[in-house]
Amino acid sequence: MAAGGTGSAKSFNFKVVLLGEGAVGKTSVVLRYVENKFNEKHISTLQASFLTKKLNIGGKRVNLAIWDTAGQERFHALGPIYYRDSNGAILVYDITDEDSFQKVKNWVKELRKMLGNDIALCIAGNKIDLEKERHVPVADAESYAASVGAKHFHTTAKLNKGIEEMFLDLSKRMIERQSEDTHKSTTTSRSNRTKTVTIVDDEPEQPSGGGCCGSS
Amino acid sequence: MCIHTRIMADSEDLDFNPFYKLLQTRFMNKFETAQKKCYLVCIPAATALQGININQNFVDTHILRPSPYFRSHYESTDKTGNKSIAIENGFVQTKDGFSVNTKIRILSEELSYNKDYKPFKILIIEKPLDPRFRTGNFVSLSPVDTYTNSISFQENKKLLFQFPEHRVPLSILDQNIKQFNMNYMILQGYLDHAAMKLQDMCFTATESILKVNRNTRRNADRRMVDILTIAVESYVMGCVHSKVFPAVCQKCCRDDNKICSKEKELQGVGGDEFGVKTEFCCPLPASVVELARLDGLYTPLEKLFCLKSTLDCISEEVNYFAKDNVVAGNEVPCIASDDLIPLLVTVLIQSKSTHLISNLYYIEHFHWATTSKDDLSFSLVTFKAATEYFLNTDFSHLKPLAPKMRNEMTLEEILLAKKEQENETGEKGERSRDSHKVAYRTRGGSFNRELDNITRMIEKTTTSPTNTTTPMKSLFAEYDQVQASGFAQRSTVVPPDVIPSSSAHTRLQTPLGDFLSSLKNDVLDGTYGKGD
Repeated sequence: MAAGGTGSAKSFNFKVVLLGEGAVGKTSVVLRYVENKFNEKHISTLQASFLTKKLNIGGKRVNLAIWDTAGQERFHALGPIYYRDSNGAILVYDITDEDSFQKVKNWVKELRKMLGNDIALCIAGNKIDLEKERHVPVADAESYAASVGAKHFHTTAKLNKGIEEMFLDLSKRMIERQSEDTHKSTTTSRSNRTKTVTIVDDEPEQPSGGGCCGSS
Repeated sequence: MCIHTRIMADSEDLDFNPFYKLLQTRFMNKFETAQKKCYLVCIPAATALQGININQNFVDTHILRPSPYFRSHYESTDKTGNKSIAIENGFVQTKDGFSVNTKIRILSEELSYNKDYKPFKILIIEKPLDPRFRTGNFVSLSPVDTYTNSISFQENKKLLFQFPEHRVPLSILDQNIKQFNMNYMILQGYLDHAAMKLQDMCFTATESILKVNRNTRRNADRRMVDILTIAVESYVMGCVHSKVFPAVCQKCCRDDNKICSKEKELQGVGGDEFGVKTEFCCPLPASVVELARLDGLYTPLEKLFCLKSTLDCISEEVNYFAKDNVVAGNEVPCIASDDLIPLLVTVLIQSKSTHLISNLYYIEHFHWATTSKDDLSFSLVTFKAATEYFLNTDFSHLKPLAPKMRNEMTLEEILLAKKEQENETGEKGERSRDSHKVAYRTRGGSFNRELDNITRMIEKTTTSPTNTTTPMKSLFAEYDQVQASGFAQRSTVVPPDVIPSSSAHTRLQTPLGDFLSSLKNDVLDGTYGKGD
């Protein structure tokens, strides 16, 4: 399959992987983000393994494909299958569970080793509604994130805080990376031999201003 | 977003909305002002814009500023600003200044930020805010909207050949295909070369077709390009299937055999043994039947869609079960990837696919027309993850559950159980005290009734064609044709553990057929969860 379609001047398609130990609330975070209160079909769906979200940032359209990654220990070896070709990663830990933060560190190490700096990272300290039970100090988490080139966010899916900001920041950074990579092919191939057919829009752009059809 | 099946489903995609396009070109200044001032932008769905005159008045009516007086109320941005709307419970309610006051459904909201990253709203609405804009044939739908979904080889072939202007490029393509089928020798270990050759063939043909196609020449709608790119690939791969797929099967035969023998060993092992959560432990007959189609399909595209529809079936069946069994007051749990892998393992085992690894290899290496970031790609990755887990994990300690403890029964087991039950009825009294029959009896009449229903349905679906008025269609009909034409990799076709009742696509559209619904609605006393 082709790895193409990452974007054009006005639209971007990004793959974001979601990583984190069970029970840290990663599913709740992403469901909260993609929920579409206007779409009944969307509300009734119960799968959280593949979700999408459309954004419009400064006139550029961004399609996020959010891939949930099998995070249980027994599936650990499957990680690379999931995060291949991803543009961004959200690593979620539970602020009341120090071990879940350690797991995030392991994931970061692995992602950096396998994908280098090609991937934008966000670390989410989730469940800040349980601040009293915090076991991961804020300073530790933030300094760790900075040390690995990631952004740290304080989130709570329960109260819907910090989540939109996190995805916006990740999207901004993925757009920046994509723009930096414009010298490379926009359809970087998995196998370095993918071809795409380019088309030229020969519909002349109309000048901005009043319409040509007159008022109704 | 490449496959045009999604184009139909995703009619609200702004990339293909005529009004949104005009906001980025002719009315760009207005749209930039709207973003800067964080106004509300209401965009009617593309299908509702046919025949609409999109002029300055239309734009000013659909870009609205927040009311200084009331929350959730907005005013039009024309000179007088005399039109107002309110957003209420998922609807836009038009108020002052409109020819009629109506409620218009909000289809979706696109999370939007301006250049300073301040949020503003773009709402995709069912129709324009005022019906009086429908005054002439100004906006027409893109030609792409007139094409129906094409997944199968035959549909794509028909699509390509319906354009008379494709005659020359297609005749060149046919010659290339013929040459490949007759002269190209696929060598073991050089499948990549074959893939590259076929990809080049597709690319060259697509380029030639796009140059002559009347729709792509007239406008640059990316969707039409995608439709034709996919159609060419589907056509080429369908034509070379009987040459390429056996070579793929030969390459992957070791892993295919390993999967097959593991499938046999693990027949009857309950889902909970593979780590399926108790709340998701249920029979998945529609998913098994869907996956059982895989070996009989021709092209990588068809096969890829089969993987996706299998995952969709799993989600659907598990959702039904979870919703029916959720404890009042609790939330229905979501299926995450950690759940999907063990669920898929149980489906793999029951579907008895003989060339699973070959199929995955075939899709991965001989399909180029879709992106690696969409839901189809996610389906392929999930299958790869599940098969890798299945191949590399030692399940030898798992033992099949006793038939009476299991949720799923094979066809043979159901018929056997029925026979036993009939014998038992004939010898009532003596055997009624046998301890191992207590479970049957405690489940009482409901079990017997259900068993009767299932048996009747099995008998109905397995009746000889000569005894039925409607002709039976083999699940493996396409495959049989391929076999007849020389492809004989699959020596024996093993039926899946459930009875296919109709074509898989029909099943997908109508969630569960009679047979499956009756399984779902069964009245067995026991639950489908872990047998304890």
